[in-house]
Amino acid sequence: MASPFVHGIVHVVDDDDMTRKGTARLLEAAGFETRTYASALDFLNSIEPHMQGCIILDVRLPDQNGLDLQVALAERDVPLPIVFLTGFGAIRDSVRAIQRGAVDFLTKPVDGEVLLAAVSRALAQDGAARAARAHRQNLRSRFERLTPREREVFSHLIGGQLNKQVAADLDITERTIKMHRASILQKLEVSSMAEVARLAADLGIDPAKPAS
Amino acid sequence: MQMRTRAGILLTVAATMSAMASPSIAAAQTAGLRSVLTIHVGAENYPSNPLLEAGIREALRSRPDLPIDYFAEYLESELFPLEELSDVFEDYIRRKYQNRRLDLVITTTDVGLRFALAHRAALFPHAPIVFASTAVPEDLNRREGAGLAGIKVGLAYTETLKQALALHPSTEHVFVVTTGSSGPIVESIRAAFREFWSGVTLTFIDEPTVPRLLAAIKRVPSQSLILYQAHIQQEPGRRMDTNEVAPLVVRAASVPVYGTADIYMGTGVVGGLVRDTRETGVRLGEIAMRILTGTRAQDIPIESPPMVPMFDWRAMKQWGIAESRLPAGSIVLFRGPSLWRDFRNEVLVVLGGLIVQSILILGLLYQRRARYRAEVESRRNLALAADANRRVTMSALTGSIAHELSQPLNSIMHNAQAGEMLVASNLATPNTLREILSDIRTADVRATQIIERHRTMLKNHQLVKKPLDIHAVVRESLALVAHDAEARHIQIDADLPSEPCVVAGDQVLLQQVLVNLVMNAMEAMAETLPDRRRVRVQNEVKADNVEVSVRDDGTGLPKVDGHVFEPFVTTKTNGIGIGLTIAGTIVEAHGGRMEAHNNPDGGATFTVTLPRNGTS
Repeated sequence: MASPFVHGIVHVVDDDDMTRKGTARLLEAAGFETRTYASALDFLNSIEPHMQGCIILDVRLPDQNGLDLQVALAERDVPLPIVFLTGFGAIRDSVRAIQRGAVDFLTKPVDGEVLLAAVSRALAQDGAARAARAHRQNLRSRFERLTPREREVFSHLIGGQLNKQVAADLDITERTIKMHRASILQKLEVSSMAEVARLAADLGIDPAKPAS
Repeated sequence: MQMRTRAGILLTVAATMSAMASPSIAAAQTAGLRSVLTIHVGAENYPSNPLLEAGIREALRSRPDLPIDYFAEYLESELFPLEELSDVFEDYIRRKYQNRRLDLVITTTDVGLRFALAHRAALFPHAPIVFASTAVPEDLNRREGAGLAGIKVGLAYTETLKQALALHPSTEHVFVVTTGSSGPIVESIRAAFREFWSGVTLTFIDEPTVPRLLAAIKRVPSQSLILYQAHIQQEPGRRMDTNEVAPLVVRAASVPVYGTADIYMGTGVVGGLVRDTRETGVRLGEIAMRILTGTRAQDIPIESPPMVPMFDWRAMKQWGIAESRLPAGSIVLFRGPSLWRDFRNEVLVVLGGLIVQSILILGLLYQRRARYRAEVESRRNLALAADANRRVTMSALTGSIAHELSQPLNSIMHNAQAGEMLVASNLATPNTLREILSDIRTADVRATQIIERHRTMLKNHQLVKKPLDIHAVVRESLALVAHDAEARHIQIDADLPSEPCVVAGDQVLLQQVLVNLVMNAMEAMAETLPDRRRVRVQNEVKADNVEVSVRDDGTGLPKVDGHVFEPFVTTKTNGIGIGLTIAGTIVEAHGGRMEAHNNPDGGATFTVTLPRNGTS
């Protein structure tokens, strides 16, 4: 039986009492923490910032189509991975759901093993995405320590320009550039320009164009 | 395993046998009883199989003095390809007939012949094989084993096309409905086209599902004709036999449709040069009898039975084809009564005086009796028609059974697996287990209700009125069509008062009315944009009656004011209006009435008014 290596809550959204209860019971028996919702609105109302876990989502809900809920969640920046579980496996729906990033599109009745495997995948995906976000957050806060002038120097340096070129572009002495450079390495907590360049790439900062 | 078998039947009990049998065979037999096995391909009810079987049996019965133990096996090939499961079928036949010596084997198809030849040594080494096949293998050694004999079945697709083009000389396009756009059939048609009809375009229609096929048929332009060879569903879904698809094609087409097999006759196809399937069975049986009575198989020449031009009289009338233009030897089926009337007029002209009078009197008496009989018949037919219509409607809704059952089945599965996991990890307490079992039982009860709901609708039914809540009837009916509506992306809104409203009625028949009306509404919206497909069902309780209305946003009614409920006046481009007629008749039997009108803002509304029962 699949066992959870990853933390997070499995949110079960299904209007059918029987399905909701059975699926939640299965997940709990396998060691997952669950919460259940009978409608799309129920779930939307209980969304909190920094929610962890994944969603098991029925396609046909009384108030909203599950596929539309998927879009609404993406618009609200709720990054929880979604496993669709539907009584009516239309090929068109499954293609749309997967194209929009669903982890899986399962048709009832689904074998418990298959569902648990999909949930494990979804939680692993959520964990990885959260780790990546945390990493980016950390880099961003370090970058924000730089002064405006240092940021300017930073964006020139990551383009691979030499101190001399940067000094000419910014119309300051090479000596001042060296000072800025030492300060940048210290504030960003890195020891080489290669690491600075990687950090810039992770943050999505483009190098400045040399003024030739 | 999808293997249909039919118990062997003893055609004749041995009494005075062996006198006629040749000594060589009689010597090898115990008590002169011969065992004959026919290997069919396809289900027992596959359209051509009963015809072949009847023909074979007829021929085998022709000699009461020759006792024959006869068996038929149906090796299904469409879902369970014979080629792939060849070994399984071999094993099955070997075990089943291990205590029996098979004296002769008949195969009815190309696939069946290949199977018999491949497994001959293992299964029936002493049995000559009698085959019907379109392609007799060139390297066939007819002396091999116990010998081979048979008939080569012709394919006359190009001849059928030639005939059709002669009858419709202004044709510019030919469309051929087939499965697979290559292969010998397609190639032979293509070749004939290059040779004979350079001015006519040729298109093969090869669609994987029936709806897509029908959509393609609807796009066929005028000045065309269609040759229907076969349609085999290539995607999962409800499977229909090729002859069941034929009438749908005919109905969807606005041009004449010709067929390539006699099983299509009567589906509305104009005709074709076809083989007589039953006669093929008779020929197989006759060849078998010759071998059983001593002729060596390889001495019987392989013959090709003639292809027969067959035409449907009704379709000929529809397309204005005079009988004089048909090829010689044509068989015209389904002749209507007007021909007889024409004939009678001529007789009347020739005869005179008293003879005329007496014939008139006799004629009137005859007509009166015929009318009386027709009335009795029509009353009985109506009950039968209601049963038949309900069954057809419900079979269209079988998808919903699977869909609805998926919920309780899912619940049962997950509860059971949760229970197993808890037990395996020693976490199961009596309380959790009790809850799990109770939920499983609840789900099972739900599944049973779903099945019962459908089963009730499928049974034959007589009108029995009881007090019942009309809102509950509507709710049950909507549950039956819910899945179908979802598949068609149609939203159904129901506006039902919470207070029950009692009418004296028949649950099953009233549900039939509602299902028919909702299905009709859904079909009327086939061409409506998906987000506008909406059916609104409303129950309005009045002082002494209740109005149930079903409203759609479809194409509306072309003919209103009484005509809609007449049989076969249809508001849809596909489908016959019989469902509405039956609905109307059921409503009348409840002392109510059914009306229809077009909505000012598009679509139609059907309203059923039923008298309320007592006060409440």
